Amino acid sequence: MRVSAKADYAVRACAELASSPHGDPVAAEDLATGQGLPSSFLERILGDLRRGGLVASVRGRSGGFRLARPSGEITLAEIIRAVDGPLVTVRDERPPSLEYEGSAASLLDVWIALRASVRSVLDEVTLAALVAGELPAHVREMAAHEDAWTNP
Amino acid sequence: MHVSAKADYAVRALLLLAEHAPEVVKVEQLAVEQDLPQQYAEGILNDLRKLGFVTSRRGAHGGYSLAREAREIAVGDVVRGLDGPLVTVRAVPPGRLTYDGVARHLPALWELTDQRLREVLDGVTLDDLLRGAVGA
Repeated sequence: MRVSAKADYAVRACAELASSPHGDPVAAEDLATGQGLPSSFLERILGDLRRGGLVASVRGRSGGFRLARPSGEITLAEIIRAVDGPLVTVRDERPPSLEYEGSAASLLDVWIALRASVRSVLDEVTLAALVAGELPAHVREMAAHEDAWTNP
Repeated sequence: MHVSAKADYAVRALLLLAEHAPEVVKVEQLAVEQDLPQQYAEGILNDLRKLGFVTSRRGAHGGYSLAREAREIAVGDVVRGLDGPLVTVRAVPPGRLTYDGVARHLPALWELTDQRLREVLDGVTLDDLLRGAVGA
């Protein structure tokens, strides 16, 4: 199981856009440089984000990309879904689509619980909160327990 | 967070072995009972053997059996064995990974997600699954 590079880059690019002064558009090359991301990969990601309604492109000399909605209204889960599909898949399917029989019947409950646990973090953290380092209370509790906000 | 078909099949194969324990189970039987393609089942059982979850016995009465107790095998152990660490971000060239500034909290957030996943997967053993005792 992996957090894809795509999901990681997409969140970081959006965090850059969220921090742009006055919400000014940011050129793709500047996003790439700012976050140390590969340019062509980033272009594809921005395309997915645009199609997902999370960013908008702005033409012209001072053009580039900007967030399509306020950063306080965009969750990390939405960003990841726009570029990477459902948050949790098993055999490339959403958990509820799976069918198990016999001794494996309870396994579905595990995959459903897995998806709930991922959602409990990523559905609850907005782009604005990520940039500000402010977490919702229950996510903060998890973080406090596990000392999760210190980087290794 | 994408659980591979391999990991999913691996857990199901182990559940079947646990159900039949201490009998030895042939690959063909595993393939049929859980509707797994046989070649796939063979490959996975080989991986599981190398990881220490199952032992194999050759010969006419050969097959596979669990190498450990079902209550000692957590789902997380199997998923990690087949799919690697629960949350990883694919490596980028050194010096290119920039988590400064606006994205500085992101690594910790991925770590937090990893912890939540581990809580779920490491808290359930094969024995729990067999007894249908998977809590909310």
